[in-house]
Amino acid sequence: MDFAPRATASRDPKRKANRASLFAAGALAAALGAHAADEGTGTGDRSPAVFRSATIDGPAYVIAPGADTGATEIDGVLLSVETADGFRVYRASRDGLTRTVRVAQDGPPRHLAYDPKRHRFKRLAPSLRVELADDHLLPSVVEAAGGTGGKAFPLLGFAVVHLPPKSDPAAALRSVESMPGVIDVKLRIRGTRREPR
Amino acid sequence: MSRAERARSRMVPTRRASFRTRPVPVLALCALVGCGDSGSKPDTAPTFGTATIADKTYVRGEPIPTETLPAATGGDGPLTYLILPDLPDGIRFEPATRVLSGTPTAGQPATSYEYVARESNEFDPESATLRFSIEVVVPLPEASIAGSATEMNEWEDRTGIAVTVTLDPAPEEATTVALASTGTATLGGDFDLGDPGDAPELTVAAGSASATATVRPIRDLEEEGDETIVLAVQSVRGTDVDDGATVEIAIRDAGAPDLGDTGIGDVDGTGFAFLVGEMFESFGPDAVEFDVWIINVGDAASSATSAYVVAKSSPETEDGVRASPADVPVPALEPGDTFETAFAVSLADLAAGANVYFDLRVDAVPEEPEVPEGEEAYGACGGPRTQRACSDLHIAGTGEVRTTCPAFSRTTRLGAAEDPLFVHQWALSNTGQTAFARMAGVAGEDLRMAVALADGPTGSGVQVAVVDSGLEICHPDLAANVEPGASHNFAAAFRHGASTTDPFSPRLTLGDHGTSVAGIIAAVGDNGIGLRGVAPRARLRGFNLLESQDDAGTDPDAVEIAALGMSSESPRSDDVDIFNMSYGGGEGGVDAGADLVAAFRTGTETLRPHQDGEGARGALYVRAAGNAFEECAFPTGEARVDSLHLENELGCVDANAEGAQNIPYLVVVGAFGADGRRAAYSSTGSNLWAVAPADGSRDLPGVVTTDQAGLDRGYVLSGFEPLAAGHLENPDGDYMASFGGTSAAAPMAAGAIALLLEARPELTWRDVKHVIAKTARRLEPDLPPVRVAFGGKPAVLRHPWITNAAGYGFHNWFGFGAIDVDRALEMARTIEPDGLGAFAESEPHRAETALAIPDHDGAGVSSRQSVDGLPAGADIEAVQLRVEIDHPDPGELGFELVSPSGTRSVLNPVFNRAFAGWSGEDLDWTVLSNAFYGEPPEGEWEFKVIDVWEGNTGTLEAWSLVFYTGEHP
Repeated sequence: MDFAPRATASRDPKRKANRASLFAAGALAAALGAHAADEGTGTGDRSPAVFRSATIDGPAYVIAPGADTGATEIDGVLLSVETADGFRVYRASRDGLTRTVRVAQDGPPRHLAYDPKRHRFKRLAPSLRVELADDHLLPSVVEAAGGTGGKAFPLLGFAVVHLPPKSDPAAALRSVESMPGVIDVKLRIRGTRREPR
Repeated sequence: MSRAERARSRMVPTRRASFRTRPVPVLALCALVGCGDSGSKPDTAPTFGTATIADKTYVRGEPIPTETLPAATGGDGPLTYLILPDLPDGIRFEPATRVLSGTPTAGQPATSYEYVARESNEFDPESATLRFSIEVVVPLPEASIAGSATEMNEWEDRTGIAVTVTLDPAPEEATTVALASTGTATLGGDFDLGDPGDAPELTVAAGSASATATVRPIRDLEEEGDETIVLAVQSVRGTDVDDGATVEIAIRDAGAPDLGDTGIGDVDGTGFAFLVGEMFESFGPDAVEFDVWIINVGDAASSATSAYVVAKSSPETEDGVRASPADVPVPALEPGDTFETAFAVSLADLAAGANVYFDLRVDAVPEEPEVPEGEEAYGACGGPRTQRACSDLHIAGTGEVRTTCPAFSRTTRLGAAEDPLFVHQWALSNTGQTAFARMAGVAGEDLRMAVALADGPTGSGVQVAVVDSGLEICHPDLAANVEPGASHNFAAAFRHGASTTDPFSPRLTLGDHGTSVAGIIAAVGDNGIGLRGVAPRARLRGFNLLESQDDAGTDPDAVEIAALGMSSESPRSDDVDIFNMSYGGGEGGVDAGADLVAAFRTGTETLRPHQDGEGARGALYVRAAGNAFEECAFPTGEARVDSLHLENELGCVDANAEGAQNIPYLVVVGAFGADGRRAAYSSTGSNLWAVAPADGSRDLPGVVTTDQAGLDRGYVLSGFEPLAAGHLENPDGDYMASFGGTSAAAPMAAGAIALLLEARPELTWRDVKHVIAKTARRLEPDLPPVRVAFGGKPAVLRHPWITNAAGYGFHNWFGFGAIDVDRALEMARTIEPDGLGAFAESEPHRAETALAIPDHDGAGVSSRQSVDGLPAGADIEAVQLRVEIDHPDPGELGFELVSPSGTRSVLNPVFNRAFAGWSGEDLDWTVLSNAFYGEPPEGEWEFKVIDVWEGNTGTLEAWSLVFYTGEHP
C-alpha cells in the first residue's frame, strides 16, 4: 500500500499481530531527549548526541546531525565529534582502528550511522521502518513524522515512512515511536549501492 | 569343495602311509565275506618305508629334471601308482615307470600333492602315500621405467608427466609393480602418482607389456627450490627387486606468488591513497544537485586536495561549466575516511537541447600506481581510475532534463516480418557467426532452443519485471510488449517532469542498462525491425531501482522490496511471474537484509496464485551472479596481480560475496561465451544455479540487444560499440552488439523461464529450478581440480565437475550447467506440476566447536555433526552454512562441506577478495551450496576450514546448517 498524505490506508491486523518487535524503541527516545547520550560515557565536558540504535539488520550508533562536539564510548567504540579547519569531524575508534567523516561545518546537517560490524560510517536512509497494529494508522504516523508519504508492505508486516531528504530521521523516529498503535520503529541505514552487472 | 578335493576324499578316505596293520573295520569285513584261513600269509599293507619326495620348484617354460619316484613295497599283488590332484599343466607322471617329466606351461603357487601306491585288490585296496609340493614359478619379467619428460613446472604443468613401467617379457597375468619414491619430492606432498591418495604402484594387465600413470606436481605457494622425483621399481609381483630401474623427474619450483596488491594476507595491501567518489543526484526545474561522498579506500593517507564538478558538452573534453561551489577543499583523508560535500549546477548555465556530462574530480591525489604494461585500469568514467565519478543527462529544448520517453517511429523492412538482426543473435542460434566481433563463436554454443524458435512457445502472457536502471517503454522494439501503466519510476519525485509510470532513464553514454536487459528477454519478434527476445511475446515492465539510488532522498532498500513483488499498487509488482535482477552489490561476510530475505520468501510463497486460490506457484527471481571473477586487486580492479595466476582458476571475488545470493529462493545465473566456455569475468561459486550465454572474451561476440532508442543516446555513444549508431544495420541507433556480463546472462535465463511458464503455467518456482537443473548441459567437462599444498598438505580448492549422490552434475563455475531450452521445455511438458513435495526449511543444526584453525595448513580443521529429525524422505534443495569464525583476515580461509553421501562442495574459496579490506570483526556469515541438490540430508556432515596464509590465526567457534528440502519423486 502506498501512502502519500491524504491517501487511504488498508489494514492487515492479523499479520501485524504476529510480528514481534526485534528491538525496543524506547532506548532511542531516551538518548535523543538528552544532550548527552544515555548509553554513552562522556569523556569530555560534553558528549555528542550519540546513541545506540536498532536498524533492521543489526545495531548501529547514530550521531545526531546537530550533535555538539565531544566524545562518548558505546560498547568499546569511542565516537567523537569535533570541528577543525571549517569541518565537522566525526570519528569512530575501536581496537586502534579509526574511521572519520568530515563535512563542511557550514553545510547541511548530515545523518550518519556507524556500523560496528563493518567498522564503517554509513548514511541513514531518509525513511523509517514502522510496525503498526493497524495499517490504517500509517497516514497519521506519516504526518507525525513529517513524512512525504508511506508505503505498507502487508505481506511483510511493516511499513516504510518516507521522509524529506534533508530531514533528520532520528528526530522523526522520536516523534512517532510513542504513538498508540506503533509497535516498533527503526531507523534504516542506506544499503550498499547496487550496480548493474 | 574343489574337484581335486572331491577326488581326494573319494580315493583315499582314511589311509596313512604309516599304517601297517589292518584296522578293526577290516575284521568286520572278513566276517561278512570270508578272508580265508587266518593262519595263511600275513596281509601286509604297501609301504614306502623311509622314502620321501622332496618339494619341487619348477620354472614355467623350463623342462623339469626327469625324476623316478620311489617304489613301494608290500601289499597284496601288484601296486599301481598315481599322483593327486592333477599335476601342473605340462608335467606328466608315468605310473608304469613312476617317472615325472615334462615342461610346466603355467605358473602355480606351491601346491600339495599325494603320491599314492595302491594295491590292485578291488575289494579292499590298501595304499601308501607320500606327500610333497610342487610350485611352478613364473620367471620375473625385467621391469623398466621411463617418463615422458624429465621436468615439469610446479605451477603451470596441469597435465603432468606420464610414467610408464614396461615388463619384459609381457606377463600372461596381471602383474603389480610397486614403486618406491626416493627423491627430495615427497609423494602426496609435492606430487601425486595417478589420483590423489593412490598407492605408488602400477598394474600391468594380463597380456600387456606396460602400464602408465601420470605424475602431477602438487602446487604450493612456497619458495622451496627445485625438487626431484625419483621413482624406483621396488618389487614385481610382490617380489623385491634389487637395484630396480629408476626414473628421475625434476619439479621446477614456481616460487612464492606476489599477492601484494590483493589485500589478501595483508589487509593493508594497497600501499597508496585511493579516493573514490559517490554522487547522489537530483534535479528540479532550475538546477541539478549533487550530494557527494569522497572516500579513501586505499591504505595510505591522502594529502589535502580539492574537488569540483564540471558540466561539459562531451565526455572527451576536460573543460566546461563549474558547478557551485567551484572548488571545495578536501582535507587529508586517512584510510577509510570519508569527506562529504555538495554541488549544484544551474540548468540556465547549460545549453538547451544538448547533452551534458558531469565529472566529479578530485585533484592531486598522490601515488596513483602505474598500470602495468598490457593491463587495463577500469576507470568509472573512462578517465584515470576512479579519481572521478561521472554522470550525464540530456537537456531538452525547453531547458529541462528529459525525463519521459518520447514517441519513436521506425520503418520496417518492406514486406519483411522477420527480425533483421536475428542472424547476429548467436545466443539464440549460434551458427559460428561473428556478430560484429573479431572472432566467431562455436556453432551450437547457445541456449539450445532450435525447436522453440521454430515452434514456440514465445512467452506469451508471462509477466516479467525488469528491476534495473530503467526501461524505455517507448522503444520501437519493446513498446508492443510493455504492459501499459505497469512500470514504475521510483525516482520520479526527484526528477522534475517525470512520470511515476515511465522509468525513463535520463542517462546518455552510460546507456540504460534495463532497456538492454529487456530486449534480451522480450524484444518484439517478427515485427520487421531489429531483433527478438528469447521470449518475444512476454510482457515487460520496468522498475528503476538502480536509477532511484542516485537520489539521496530515496530509500533503495524499500524500493527494492516494492519492486520485487511486495507491492499491490504504485507499483503493482505482485502480479509478476518473473523478476529479472541484473544487478548486485555486496560485501563479503555480510548477510542479506532480513526484510529482503522475507520478500523473496514471501514472493515464492504467495505470488502466482493458483487458479483456485489455494496456495501459489511462486514467482521466479533470476539474479546475475556477478562479474567479479577477475576483480583481484582491491580496490583498483586490475586483473592478474597474482603472479601465479591462481585467480584464473579460483576467481577473485566469489559469487557468495553478496548475501542476497546465499538464499535458496533465487536462480543465480553465471555467463558463458559464444565459445562455450565460462565468460572470463563471470563470478563463480557454490550458489550458482546455471549459466546462460553472454559475451565471453574480448574478441568473441557480445550480446546483440536493444539500446536506448535514437542516435543521441545509449551505449552506442560509448565509442566501443561495433554496431554504432548509424551503422548500416543500426541506422536509428536503437540497438547494440556489445552488451554483456552476467547482466546479459540473467535475462537469457529469465526469457527461457518465460517460455517454460507459457508452456506449462502450472509449474511452481521450484519446478522450474528443478527442470533447469535436470536438463542443463555441462560446459568444459574436463576442467581439472585445483589442488594446492599449504604447509606441505594438499587441499582441493576447486573440485572438478562432480556427480552428486542424486545424480546431478555440479560445478562451482557453472552450477548445474548451461540452460538447454528445448530439453527443459520437453521435460516441463511432461512432469507433474508441484510434484516435488512440501518445501521445508529446517531448524539450524548447530555445532559449537571452538577449534583452533591451524595456520598455513592445507589439512585445516574439520568438525562433524550428525543431522537427523528432518522429514522422512526429504531431499535437499539447498544447504545454507553459517560460520562463526574469529579470524582477522577471512580472505585466508577456505570452507568445504562434505555431505553424508560424500559429496564435497567448496562454499568459500581461499583468497576470496570479497574480504579485501576486512576490518577484523568476527565473521558471522551465511553461505549457500546447491551442490547437494537431491541428496538425503540426514547423516553425518563434515565441515572443513583451512587457513592457507601464514601469519594470522583464528578459531572456528561454531557452524550450523539449514536445510531446504522437498520430497522428490
